Amino acid sequence: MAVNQGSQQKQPHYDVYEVFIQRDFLGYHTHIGSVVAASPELAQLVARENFLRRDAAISIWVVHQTDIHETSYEDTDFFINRATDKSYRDVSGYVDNAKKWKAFKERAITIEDLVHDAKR
Amino acid sequence: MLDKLQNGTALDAQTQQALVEYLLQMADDELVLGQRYAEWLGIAPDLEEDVAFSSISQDELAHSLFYYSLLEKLGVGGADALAYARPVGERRNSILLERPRRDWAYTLVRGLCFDVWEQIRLVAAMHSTYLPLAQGAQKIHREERYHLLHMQTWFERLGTAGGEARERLEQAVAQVWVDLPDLFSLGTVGDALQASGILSLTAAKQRFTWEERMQTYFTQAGMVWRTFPATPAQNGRMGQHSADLTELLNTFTEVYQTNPAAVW
Repeated sequence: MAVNQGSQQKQPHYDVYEVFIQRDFLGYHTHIGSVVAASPELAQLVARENFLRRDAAISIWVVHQTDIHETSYEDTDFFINRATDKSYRDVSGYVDNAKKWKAFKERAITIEDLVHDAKR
Repeated sequence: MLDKLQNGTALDAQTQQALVEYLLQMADDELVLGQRYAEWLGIAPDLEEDVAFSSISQDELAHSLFYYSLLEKLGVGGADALAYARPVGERRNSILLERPRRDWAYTLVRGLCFDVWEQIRLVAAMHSTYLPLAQGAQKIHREERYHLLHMQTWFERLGTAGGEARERLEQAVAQVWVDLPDLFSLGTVGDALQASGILSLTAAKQRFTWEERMQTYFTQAGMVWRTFPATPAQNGRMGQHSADLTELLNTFTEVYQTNPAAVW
């Protein structure tokens, strides 16, 4: 992205900021892109104009890109979670619940059933 | 059409004339500065700023449209004709705002001076006895707060950066300063505005508030404050302008002048 246009080949005083936007109080901050700016304050200002020209929002976070600690793309083992059988982590045991509830609720309840329940 | 102001003053010919002059001052300020800002499109210091500054430019033009629309309702003429067809001698903007954009530092210093001034003028307008103006000023004031924050942040950043940034900023302040006086001028209608309550503050009082606030920004940026300059011979509020305005009008009215009836 653009840097300052000084005629000399100076190191630009510009940093990359990642931008997160919260659209309403029930939402959370979502990454929307990045901006190049000379200070965090300027990053907020240009983020507002670059990402919120039309949409509404209630909060902007700008984070120095260098403050993000990322995992390595090479270390694929880091993400292995199915090398052995991990079916016990799935929630498949619950898939019939809705059907069972429905059948239970649809069963007609008679006076005898209530008496029977009360006697127990 | 309104025939009375909020305080019961009749909107007679003389009061209406003062109101028209005042609205023209505000409309022309926004139009001319918005056009000068637009000249940064594509060449602002960085891509993000390019987008941000274009938005500010659009905002200023939209604000001018609001004032021209009020003038249209007062029967002064169509908004387009007011913006594009009036000769240079009928323009009421401050001379400061018609100057070329020069460098980024000049643009920011001029922007800061204008935005601080506009806050003061808009708050006064929010208490105007002319209700359509008071209502519009309230909305415009909310948008202008962001413009001021933008200029203020840049001003502080360049002022405290040292080196070339600081040098250019100081040079820009000197260039802006000589053109300041007519920004605060109310032309010939100051007394009539006060008598009718369209504007309850005097030009002197408003300028005093401006100096007070500007000094705070100068301190934050570590810049040396300058005394207010002597009044130049020309006053934009009286229709007196530099060749810079002629050049600017020729540029932005080119399409309109080619065919005023064209739809574009």
